Amino acid sequence: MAKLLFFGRMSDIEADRDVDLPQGVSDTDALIDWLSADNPVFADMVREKGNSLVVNQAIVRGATPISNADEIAFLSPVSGG
Amino acid sequence: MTCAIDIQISETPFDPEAAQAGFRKTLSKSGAVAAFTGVVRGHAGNDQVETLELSHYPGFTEKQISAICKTAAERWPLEALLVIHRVGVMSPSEPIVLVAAASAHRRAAFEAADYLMDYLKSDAAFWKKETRAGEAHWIEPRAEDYADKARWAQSDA
Repeated sequence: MAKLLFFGRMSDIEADRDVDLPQGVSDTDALIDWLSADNPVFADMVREKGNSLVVNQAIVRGATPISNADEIAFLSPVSGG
Repeated sequence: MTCAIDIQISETPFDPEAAQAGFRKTLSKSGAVAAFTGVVRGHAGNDQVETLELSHYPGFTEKQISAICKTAAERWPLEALLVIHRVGVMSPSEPIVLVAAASAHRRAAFEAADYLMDYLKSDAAFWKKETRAGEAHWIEPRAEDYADKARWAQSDA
């Protein structure tokens, strides 16, 4: 099971959960498309500027391979400490 | 100089004065400690703030703060750094963050504490939700925070 986490604004519209990634969802772009299909608000929000995508606690950019062993976190722009 | 780095994320209120006293006791080479405490503001514009809720990404946020501290320790001759950051629900005037920097002389301590705060404000994974008049609002990043951080890049040039 892959662990999905959502922070900031995105935590209002998506719940943290463990999911079995369907076949074909093998990178972060495919994951975003898969989640967006069920949640149009997420689809808009995830494309906004200033978000970060984190795989196994490291920031990634662009399509990044993922599997059921991974922790994937969607970070809305940070408010600052 | 090896710099001792202590990072704490606290779910419960902390006492910045007691923490600073404890921090001073760990020092043997420093002649200067600069400490900054951030507290919950009671007003946002004309609105009264009821509560501020802070969330973080456990593990990841600590890693980011650790990287910020290590960069500061490379830049200034520091004996020790302390960062305590609250998460959870807070009321006006409650401490949110304490940073303390210890060095042989004051300039490095002042600058390191200032640097840590600028990077914490712009880079660290914290999200804030303010409740005003019974309504919760996410706090957006401020342009000023990025500008404050940019000061340090300019002085690198």
